[in-house]
Amino acid sequence: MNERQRIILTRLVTGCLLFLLTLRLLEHATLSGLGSPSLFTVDLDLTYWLFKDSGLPDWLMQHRAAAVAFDVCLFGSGVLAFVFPLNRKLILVFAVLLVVYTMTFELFATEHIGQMDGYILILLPFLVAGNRRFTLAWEGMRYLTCLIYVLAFLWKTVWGNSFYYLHQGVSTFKSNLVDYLSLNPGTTMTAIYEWFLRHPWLLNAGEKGVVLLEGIMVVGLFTKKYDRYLIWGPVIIHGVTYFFSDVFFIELLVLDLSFLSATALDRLTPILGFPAAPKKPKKASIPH
Amino acid sequence: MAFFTKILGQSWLGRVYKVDKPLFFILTLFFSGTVGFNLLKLQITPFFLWGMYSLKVPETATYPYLELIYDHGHVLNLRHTWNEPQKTYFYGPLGRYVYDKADASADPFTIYMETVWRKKHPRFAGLTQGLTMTQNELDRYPSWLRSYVSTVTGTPVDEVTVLQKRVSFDASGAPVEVSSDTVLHFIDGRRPARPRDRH
Repeated sequence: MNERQRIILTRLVTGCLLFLLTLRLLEHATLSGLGSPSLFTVDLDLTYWLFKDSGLPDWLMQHRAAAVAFDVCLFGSGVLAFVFPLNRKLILVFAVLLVVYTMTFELFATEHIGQMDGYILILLPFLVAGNRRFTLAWEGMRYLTCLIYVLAFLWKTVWGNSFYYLHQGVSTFKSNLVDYLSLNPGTTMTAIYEWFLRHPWLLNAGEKGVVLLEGIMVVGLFTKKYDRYLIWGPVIIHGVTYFFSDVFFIELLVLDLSFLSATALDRLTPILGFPAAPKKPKKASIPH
Repeated sequence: MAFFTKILGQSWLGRVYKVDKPLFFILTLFFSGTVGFNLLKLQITPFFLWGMYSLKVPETATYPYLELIYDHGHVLNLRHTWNEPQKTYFYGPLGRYVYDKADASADPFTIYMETVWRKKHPRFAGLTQGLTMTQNELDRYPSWLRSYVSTVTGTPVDEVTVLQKRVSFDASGAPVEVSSDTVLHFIDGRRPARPRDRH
């Protein structure tokens, strides 16, 4: 990967993160919008134990000015990382703030939210100096993306038992969409959902298809030959679960950007390839 | 042997090893940790577990959900999937508050920490005091819920009622309400009465 491609990739990733964060801001789900929540959970995650014991999350949530300042810094560092993509210090600041945001959000939401894991992982390769080392680290993100889906497949087939339960699709659908169907009678989506409930085998087959699609991602651990197809795997998985499980795993798709080829990045040059930093003016030559 | 050495050398990790040994060790540790912690079924960030929906969701006759009603019968309806960050903040802590019946000592994590973990690791017990919820924190919850409903709806809210509804699905796929219990009701953030009136 050359420097221009790194610039485009950094802007693509930080741009996607900023878009998702803006959505969260509008949803009153960034720190400044949450008020001072009182319930929390750390579970058995030792990192969360240390984070809670540090007192930082409580301090941020109990001081409105601190929460607002945090959001300003989070978005500000993201915008700066987008404009100056080769400045690793700016990316480091954005990455740290993103980790603090994610952990604080999850801590007071009283649950660990799988789709936010991408926020913690995605910027790590961009902290590596040198294009050759960065290219290798970014390639690692691609392998990690494949591994995540393979692990999800193993959880459902080997360590868990959901794959072997033939009604999993319809029962998940009913559990997750019961509030939508009850509160929104007469909408087009409700009519579509009710049609699917009259044909539950489609929901059950679709759920098995999604699990198998997760398993297919194992191919990516051994070859890059099929990347142009594999990139669509997570898109289909999270698109389907968006509508049929009412879960917003779209946020995890930032990891899917690791499947983009150098050629695809080159195609984005007209949009994202503007100069990374103003060039230093050449020193005027002094006539002797 | 030479064949495997060649294969490993050409692999991604092999190439990382040739270029940058510290990076190789970091990445090897991270990938091994990710697989290892998933095998152990223990999450320690950033070694995440990827077991969402791995357990059977049994099909039942009725399905529960919490309905939040504010000021004079307005129902909070977060209808889009992209509202999920907001939904998480409403229904995650709310479910927990309702499940614990507003009693901090009923929290399963608190019970585990007190009856198992702190007895097993008495030296570290002091470090874990802030990790379990206090009764004061639970008592502050209704007031926070009221303020968050006000923020989200954009109107000052005084009264909040939460109903736990149970719904079944008829042959056409339409939901049919089976029961509705008031699990939380408060006015102006005051400590809630928790009637169990069946409507």
